Amino acid sequence: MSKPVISVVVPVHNAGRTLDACVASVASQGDCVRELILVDDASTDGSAALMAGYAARYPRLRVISLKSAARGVSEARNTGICAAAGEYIAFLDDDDEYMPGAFAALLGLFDRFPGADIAVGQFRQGAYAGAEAVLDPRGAVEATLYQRPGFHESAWGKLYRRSLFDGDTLFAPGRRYEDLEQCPRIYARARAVAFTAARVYRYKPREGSFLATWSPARADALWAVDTIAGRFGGVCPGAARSRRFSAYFNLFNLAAANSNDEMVRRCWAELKKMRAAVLRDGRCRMRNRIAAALSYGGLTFTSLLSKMFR
Amino acid sequence: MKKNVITILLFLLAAVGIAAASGPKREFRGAWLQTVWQDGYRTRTTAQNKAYLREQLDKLKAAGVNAVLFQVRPQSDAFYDSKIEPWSRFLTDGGAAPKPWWDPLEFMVEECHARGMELHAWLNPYRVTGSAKQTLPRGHVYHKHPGRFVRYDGKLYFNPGLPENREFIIKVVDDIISRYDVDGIHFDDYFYPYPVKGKEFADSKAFARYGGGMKLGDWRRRNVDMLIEEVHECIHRRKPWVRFGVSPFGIWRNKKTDPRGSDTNGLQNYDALYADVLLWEEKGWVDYLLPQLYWDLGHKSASYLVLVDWWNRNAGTKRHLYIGQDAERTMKSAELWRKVELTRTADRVRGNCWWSGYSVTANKGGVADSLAARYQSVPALVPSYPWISGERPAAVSGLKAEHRRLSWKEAARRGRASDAVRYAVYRFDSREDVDTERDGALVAVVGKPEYEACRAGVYVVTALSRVNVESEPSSPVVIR
Repeated sequence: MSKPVISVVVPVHNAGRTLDACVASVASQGDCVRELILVDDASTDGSAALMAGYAARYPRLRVISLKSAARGVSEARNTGICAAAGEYIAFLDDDDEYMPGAFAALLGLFDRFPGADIAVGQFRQGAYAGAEAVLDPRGAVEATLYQRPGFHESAWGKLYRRSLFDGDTLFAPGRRYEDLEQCPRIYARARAVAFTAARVYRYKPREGSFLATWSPARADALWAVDTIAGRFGGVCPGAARSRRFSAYFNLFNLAAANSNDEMVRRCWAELKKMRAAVLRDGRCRMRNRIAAALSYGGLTFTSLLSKMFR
Repeated sequence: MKKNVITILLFLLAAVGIAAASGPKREFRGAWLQTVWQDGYRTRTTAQNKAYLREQLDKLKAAGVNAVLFQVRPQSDAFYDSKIEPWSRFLTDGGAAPKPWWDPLEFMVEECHARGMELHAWLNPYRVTGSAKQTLPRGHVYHKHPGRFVRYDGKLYFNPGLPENREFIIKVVDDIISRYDVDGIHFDDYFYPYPVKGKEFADSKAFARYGGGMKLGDWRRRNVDMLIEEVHECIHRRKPWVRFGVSPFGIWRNKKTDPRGSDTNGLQNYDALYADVLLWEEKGWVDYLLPQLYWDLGHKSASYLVLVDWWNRNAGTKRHLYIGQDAERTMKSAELWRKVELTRTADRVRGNCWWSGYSVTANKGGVADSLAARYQSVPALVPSYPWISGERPAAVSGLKAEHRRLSWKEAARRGRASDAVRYAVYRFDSREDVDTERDGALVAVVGKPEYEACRAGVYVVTALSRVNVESEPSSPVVIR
């Protein structure tokens, strides 16, 4: 018997088709789950009735809703964080699942690294080639911003000590890429962050999901990396720049493929400012450095390339 | 080594602060200042009382409070100069006028308004005495009409079932709003008395006379409903801009009694105090409901979390909904940021009110520091009340700067809801657009047409009506 220590927070919005599997993946984790908090973000597809049904069957589940109109995953997660009573918090998206034994694996990290405040697991097999490791906050932020394999920025697939959360570590309301922006912010609060190669999370990318298509909200990626640069540019300038370069290059490609000239120009201007430093920084991932090198061929050349390789 | 420490410090600093942590531009931030059972007002001299209250208001203002709920009728008595009821025993002995003479309500109205804060006069409708031994001063209505009162567990109450008592209470309300420039009339959670085991509220005679075949519970609720409706009507007739708000006990009904109720197991407003508070919002008799949710987030029988969710789903659509917070208890449980965050996330909740104001001014558990530094660090306007009036006051004119001092023309008051009674001061960097909705642009709410700027920048001023409708911004002035 393990102690019920984990509060699982699920922002739910019109997830009628996926919620069964999502909830079941937590219900089967055993006694370590203290509560499963479903934050209903103004669903209109009958998820509410579904959730009430779960609540009747699964006593550790509770449903809260503070919204009459959908406001997005950030605010829903924040509500869940405020509601959580467990020693640890885990996030789960309403169309994803935790793997069997996921929480036991993550709790094991805390046993072995009692100084850690965050335990990070994987969502892809083989994403992280290293051994189990514990990093100080600076190391964790740098590895993450340099995008080393396995050091992902998602909110889920991790356990956080609840004491890390307060008004300063919540997700930014109304933004996409909220996890990218929040990740280094909360890592910086931890005494240490532990990483494991174990896959704990089943992320299910869907056709037509946000990341696969163009929308103006994609520009929030730039807000996220600019915010990170503002916060961390002074203490780990290389890592902040590398992450910023990635995001700008990514959006440059997407904008070029969608012939969004204004966004292409905006990204290009910033890429030009960063490319020399990125090229010289041996810690930047190879993709960034190749992109930086190619960009010396000029705007037309680079956008042609990016169109070809899509 | 030293460099290392600096890096770690810088790193920690990097994690601090997300936008809007200081709060929305419009938010009710009230504080209750009770006089019942407060010895200090009786023992201090008039001058000491004035200095004491000024200090309380300065501290509340510094903590970001924008509305003060001051108890002026704790027990069928008066913290103001009344011809209807005696001076309060919590202010003087035997119903005597204070010496040297002062009128606490008048004083508080002036002092709050000078600070750009609202003053809501807080009345207890039915309560008369606090113990069996207590005697009432000569001239109290009880001596003339003892039959209108009910003794319950030793304490005296106006019998809510008698029309003449309703008339009397309305007369008190009308007297206050006629003579004082209050922004609101406030009732708290006390309606029919909190039940004491084994005691019956002896109102059978009134029930027999006025019950009209209703069930006892329905009749008692009807009595309270009628009072609330008549207070609303009285205000509406006399000074429609004066808000009427109620801060009920935190549970309307439990789910096991009523499927509409909350998942709680506590005393019920509807059944025990005969206060059907949801009906009052639905009928539009109150302008705000301010349930007292003093419990911890995870309280076993009355969880704050369950209740804030419940109130958010069941109130706040037709009228405003604010949450009453127990400042001291919240600090003890280290739940301040979670409770504030939850009320700001709940989309029908438009503010908080702190119990008690004295815990805030005493900075219990660091609550005043936390509010001033963080959650209420940027000033907020009290929300507007469009069902009363949506009319904008005229824009501020004559704004000028002499050194760092801004001043402008005070608007004439015509006894209308749209009178400009407060002003909002905004500051912008010289390169920024003048956008009064921008986070952090609001730097002060003031009651007088002047402001001492402490930073250079571009300033504009708006006027606020009696119900906080904002005018167009003035033309800008620059302070260098």
